[in-house]
Amino acid sequence: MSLLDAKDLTMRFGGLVSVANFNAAIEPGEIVGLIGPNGAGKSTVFNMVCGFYKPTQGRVFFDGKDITGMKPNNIVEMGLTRVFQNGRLFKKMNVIENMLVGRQRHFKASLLDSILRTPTYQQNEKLAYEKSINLLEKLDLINYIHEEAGKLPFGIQRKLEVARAMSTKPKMLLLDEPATGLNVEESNDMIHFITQLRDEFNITILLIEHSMRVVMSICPRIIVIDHGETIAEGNPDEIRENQKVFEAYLGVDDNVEN
Amino acid sequence: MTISSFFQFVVLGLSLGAMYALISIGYTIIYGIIKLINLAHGDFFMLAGFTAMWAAIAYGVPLALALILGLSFTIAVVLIVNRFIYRPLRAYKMAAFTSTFAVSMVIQASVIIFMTARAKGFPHPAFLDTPIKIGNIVIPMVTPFIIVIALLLFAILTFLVNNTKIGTAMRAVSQDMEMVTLMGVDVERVIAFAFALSVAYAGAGAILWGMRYPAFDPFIGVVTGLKGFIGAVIGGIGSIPGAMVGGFVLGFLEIMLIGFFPEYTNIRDIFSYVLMILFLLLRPGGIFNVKVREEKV
Amino acid sequence: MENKNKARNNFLTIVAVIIVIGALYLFQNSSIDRYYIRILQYWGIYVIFGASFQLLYGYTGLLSLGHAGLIAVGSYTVAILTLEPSVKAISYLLRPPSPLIANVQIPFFPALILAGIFSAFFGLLVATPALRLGGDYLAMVTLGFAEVIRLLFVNLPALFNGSMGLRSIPQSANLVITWLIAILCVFVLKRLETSNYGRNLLAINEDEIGAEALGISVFKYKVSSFVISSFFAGIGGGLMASMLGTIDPNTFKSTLTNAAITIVVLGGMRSMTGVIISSGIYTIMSEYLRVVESPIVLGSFKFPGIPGARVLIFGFMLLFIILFMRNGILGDKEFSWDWLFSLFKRRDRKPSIVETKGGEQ
Repeated sequence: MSLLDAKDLTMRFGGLVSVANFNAAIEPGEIVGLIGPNGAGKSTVFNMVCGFYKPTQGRVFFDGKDITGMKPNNIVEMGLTRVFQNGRLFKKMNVIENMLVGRQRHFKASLLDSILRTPTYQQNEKLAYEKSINLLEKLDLINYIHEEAGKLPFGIQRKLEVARAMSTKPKMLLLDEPATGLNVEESNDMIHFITQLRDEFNITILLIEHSMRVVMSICPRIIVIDHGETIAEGNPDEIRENQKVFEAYLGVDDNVEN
Repeated sequence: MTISSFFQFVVLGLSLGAMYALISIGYTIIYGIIKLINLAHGDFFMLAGFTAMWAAIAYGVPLALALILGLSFTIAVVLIVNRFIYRPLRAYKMAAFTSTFAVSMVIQASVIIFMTARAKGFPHPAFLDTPIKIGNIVIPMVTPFIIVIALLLFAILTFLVNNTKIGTAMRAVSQDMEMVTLMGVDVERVIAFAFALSVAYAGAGAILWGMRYPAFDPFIGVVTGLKGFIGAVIGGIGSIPGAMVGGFVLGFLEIMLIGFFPEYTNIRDIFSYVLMILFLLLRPGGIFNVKVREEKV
Repeated sequence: MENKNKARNNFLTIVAVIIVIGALYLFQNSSIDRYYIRILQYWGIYVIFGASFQLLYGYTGLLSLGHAGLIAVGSYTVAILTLEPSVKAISYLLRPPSPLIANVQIPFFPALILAGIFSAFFGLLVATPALRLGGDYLAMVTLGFAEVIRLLFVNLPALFNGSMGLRSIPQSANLVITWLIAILCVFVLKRLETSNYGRNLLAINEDEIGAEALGISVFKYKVSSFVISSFFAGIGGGLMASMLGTIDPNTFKSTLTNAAITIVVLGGMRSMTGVIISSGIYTIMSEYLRVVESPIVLGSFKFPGIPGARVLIFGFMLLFIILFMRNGILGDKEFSWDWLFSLFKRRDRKPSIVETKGGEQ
């Protein structure tokens, strides 16, 4: 059974169709790329899948359950976590604190526990620290542990944001342009980082990315949308040779990597 | 209740509503543009009315001139406050919000110190007191006067917002500030204009209020400002037609409450408050079902 | 932090509290002017008002203008529940006391807890509708609440004795009790703020959408922090009723809300040390500025008092702090023993004054 199953997702804003009949079935362990020219509706798909928009039509199933119209935080509870394109780190908090907020859904201590600092609270807090440190170590971010998130180099901030999403222990990640604004070296680093996520955590990923190079090197399967409609689906070679995709991108400069 | 007294209440309700609506507009305009509830809005209402009144009764300035003086003074104050307080704080939401509250404290206290803490009667032309008799009901001239003036002001506002350059810019800024900045619109000028406009309308409301009711005091802005806010919520915050309708609806319902249940006169403020809570719970977008502008995700 | 230091610091904290309470006890039983005792007691109560407001304002990032209303709920709860039935019978002049309350009298401490609970309940009633649309409307909705609650007091004379208010409230909360409770409130609030709960509030404050995308129920956290803040405002209100002995609807004008806001803005958004210092400053300022508001006679000149001067000064002070020293006195720095000791050590290794998150309390 597919882990994420989007059926006929449609979003209309006023009279404008932003996404029409989007369908995708993603199997556990897959990394799927979602690409398309600017304004094609990629982010809108994400917003519908993880509860920030209520789709005008269609349904989303995750792990066999209908999650259409559920609140974003409840969808995270189900094991589906999203990383934003424009960076939503808690900039004034340090790295470990950012990670700990991500751990919240596994924190099982009441307010009374935290006031009295009961053993339950202490165990939870200790476990949260250990798990977060563990994750930071694995993802090679441990050197930054006490730094203020907003002051980290940009490439590290993007990584931290993914790491923070991982600390919710998701079954699946939605990554929205993780390599935007990164230079070639940093984006190579990001490619490595995402592959590492898949290998070490066996996590399912749906990835929006502008940079063809990044998508082609990570995703065995790619979905292309344009003007809200799915125009192609297949492996990188198929996509490269697809006439429709070529046309959609025609005139669009593919040097977004700066 | 007879038909004629019902009619009388309708007129009274609409005139009260017209004054509320004049206040509601300011909340909606400012919130629509910079997502800030100006907590000092009610005090600007009070300031405009109070300075006009004070000029007339303490310095003997002729009424027409006093009204112009009160309005221009208050507009000048809001422009200064915007330029030197709200604008530098715009990037810091909590600080900006709190500063509007501090401004409210300063305005109230200044009026008490430099004018008076006592309630005073507003001077007004005698013709407004003339009773009008229609059949067997009597209403003072001032009530239809308020309705007519307010409708005129609403017509001007509608024209201004829809048919002038600055109005178009205002609507554009409320849609997407970044985009508009890129297009070369001077956003700060638009915001300053919006503040001036919001205070001008509230000030007009205050002057009408002064003509209608026997007394005006430095604290009147608190509850009246709150009523204006409730009107804006009822109409749907962010919508200018919503603010007008919402203000009218609130005033009308308040007077109807008093008309049908005179024993509840004392608690009409509670009634209005509960009405707002009900709207927030059941129809947060107000009558016009305004969608709160979604933050881009 | 090393374990040895932690044990030492906790010990020092306990000793310090005992010394402070002991000193207050001596004060209370000395022949010192009652006026000064009253000021100290006000200080303790303002600490609670400030600390409870700080959770909401400094952590969650919400502005409420209803603190006075919530304080009022606490005050009236304690007043009604602790007044002797015989006193009620003679002091309810407008209407005889409602049978609901006529024969009720409970001891001070349970009444104080109930004061907190009632305030929390009203906080829940207000916050739920107001926070459904984010936090922007909260200020106005709570301002309305503060007005409405006063109208209720006036218009339900059988319960609240209308505008006459309540007199002869047993003055159970003396200086020592007030400060003991204030310290307890500060302790509980600080524990919450330094736990995962406070961390999540800060995350919401920084980026709501980011927090929500990590599974945090933003609405629930906002409402719960309002309710907790209300609870402590109610406790502070209860103590105030007991200190004053007499309350009426006008006791709870917006001045109390102004006080809570000023204390937090002045002291520092997230510093409990700051709140304690700034409540002291506020208490003293508002006491001594009374002078400005009453007439002064200098020789043959008689200067009329300037009513409203205090509000003007506090208003300008608030604006000044917001514009030019946004972190207040301490920002989010907290007093810590390690900092204190470092002052006496050689200057080469200087830990900062901060021991913000995860610090002992």
